[in-house]
Amino acid sequence: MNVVNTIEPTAGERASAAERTPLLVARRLTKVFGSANRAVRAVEDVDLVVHGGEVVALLGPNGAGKTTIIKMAAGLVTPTRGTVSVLGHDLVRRRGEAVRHLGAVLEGGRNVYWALSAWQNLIYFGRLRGLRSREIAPRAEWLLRELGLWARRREAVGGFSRGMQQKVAIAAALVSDPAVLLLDEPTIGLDVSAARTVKDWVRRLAAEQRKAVVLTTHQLAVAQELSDRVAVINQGRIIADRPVGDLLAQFREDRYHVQVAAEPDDVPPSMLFEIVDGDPAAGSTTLAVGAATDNGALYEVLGLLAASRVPLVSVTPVQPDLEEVFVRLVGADR
Amino acid sequence: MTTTTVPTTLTAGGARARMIGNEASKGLRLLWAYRATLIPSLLSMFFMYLVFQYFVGGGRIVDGLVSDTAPALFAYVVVYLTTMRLVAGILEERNAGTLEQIHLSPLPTWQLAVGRLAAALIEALGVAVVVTAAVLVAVGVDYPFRPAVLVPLALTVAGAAGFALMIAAASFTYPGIGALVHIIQMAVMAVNGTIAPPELFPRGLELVARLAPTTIGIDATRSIVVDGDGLGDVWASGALGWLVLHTAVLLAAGWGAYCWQIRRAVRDGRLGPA
Repeated sequence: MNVVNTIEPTAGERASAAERTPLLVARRLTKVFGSANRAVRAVEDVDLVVHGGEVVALLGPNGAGKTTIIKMAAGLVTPTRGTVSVLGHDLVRRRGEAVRHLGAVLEGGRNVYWALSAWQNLIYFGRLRGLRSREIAPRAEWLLRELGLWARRREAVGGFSRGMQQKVAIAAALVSDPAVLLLDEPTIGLDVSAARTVKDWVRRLAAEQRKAVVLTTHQLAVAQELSDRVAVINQGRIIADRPVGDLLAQFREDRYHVQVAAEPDDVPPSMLFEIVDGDPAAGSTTLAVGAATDNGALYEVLGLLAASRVPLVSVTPVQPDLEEVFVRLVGADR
Repeated sequence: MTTTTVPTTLTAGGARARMIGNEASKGLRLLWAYRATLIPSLLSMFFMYLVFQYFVGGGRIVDGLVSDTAPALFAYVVVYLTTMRLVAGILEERNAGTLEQIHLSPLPTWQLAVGRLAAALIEALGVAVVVTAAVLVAVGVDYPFRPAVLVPLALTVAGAAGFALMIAAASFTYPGIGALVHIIQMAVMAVNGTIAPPELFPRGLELVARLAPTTIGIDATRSIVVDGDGLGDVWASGALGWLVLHTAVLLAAGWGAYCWQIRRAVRDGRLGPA
């Protein structure tokens, strides 16, 4: 007799399987605005897969197509070719099902009604997504309390600061608890404190609520800080789509910066390093050392400096930041 | 952490009606928020009409002329305000980015349009009733109430809604439509009988007038409240049949144009700020 052992997946395995199921999938997205000889190819063959708990940043120069991608992902611009699905629902064929799981804060507009209060906005947008007032009220209260707007919930949003207005826009996008959040330049124009609140929220939404977050930004530090993955877009195409760490590692240089407390003239000449920065007034010099795989060159330079009794201040591996990587990627694509 | 269960279906009529109601109530809240502009427009319509009547009456306001033209004033206010609210709403919401947010709703375009239209019509009807009543009281004209009048009036309002949707549709393509709306509305007022009944117009102009929004409806309304005709008489004269046809054409054209322009705006990425 054959015995078949059926092993039920554990809760953890089920959660992990759910995590692996992408919440947002864009395939071969292409958008051509205009027609014939006036056609502008804004986006071309873009593939994007975002899982729950993941923050993906779309980076690119002005006019690269970031906003068009976000709007196509939100169903606000019809793709010329390609598909978008949200939780498996095709955004064109099953639009109603798909947009129910989407929230978006778009750049260039207010996103909410300034003449209405924060509370009225949240109730309105919740109902717009098919919820009843009694379902919206507890979540709206939680959102407004968490964002520090509860005390002013009855005031017209038009009287709020830019940061508070952006918080209301984020709360309105989240009022129906969507699985996918699209944020177009979420921190643009915000002061340090408001930008920090927004960044904290994005982090929490992904980490605690396992939402899929796609954001565009020109602030590369924000992208580096928030995102798990970065998709660099240039002239409508994705030219790199990798985890931030991988992208930085790809462009990591095998170099060290060695700072010494000496003037440039006091540093012994060597073929193993170049002086990248010297400040005679401060008596400080920075040397760039190309490191061999075993760091032999670095040790050789350090030995040279020790022999010359040049005081050592610091040794730092040269790590390009996302901005540098971005500039190199886009520059190489031209 | 508060979580919300996103509804899986919205096919139930109640849920759809609730969402349309949500759209309409938002529209009314926004209108109330901008109520400061409402009072001047009420007053200007009231005085403009009386000034026209004064000149048409040869230096005095003639009761008979007012009773003939007041229904047209009512219809003009409805068509003017509905159009203005729809056009201004679309232009403002497009710039503000809220039009895009609205279209992130699971509701289909036509239901969103119904909500928007309902809000504009409620306001327009309210203002039209107040302005017309104020004129009738001021001049001392009294209409007998005949329930039959509700039929041509309802058809007139429906036709006005269709016309307003047609103009609103154009606002997706021509952002400068606001200026054009005023000219179009002045033309409607000139020919729909607000200034003088169309039968006083030269023959050619009268034909044009009868094709304009609200003119046929006002004719039918007048024959019931002023001439004392019944619905059967209006039907027999052919006026009601023409009104039904005219209204159906306006509604179909308005509806078709509006939905088509929304689809084009989504295709071309024109729902949001330029």
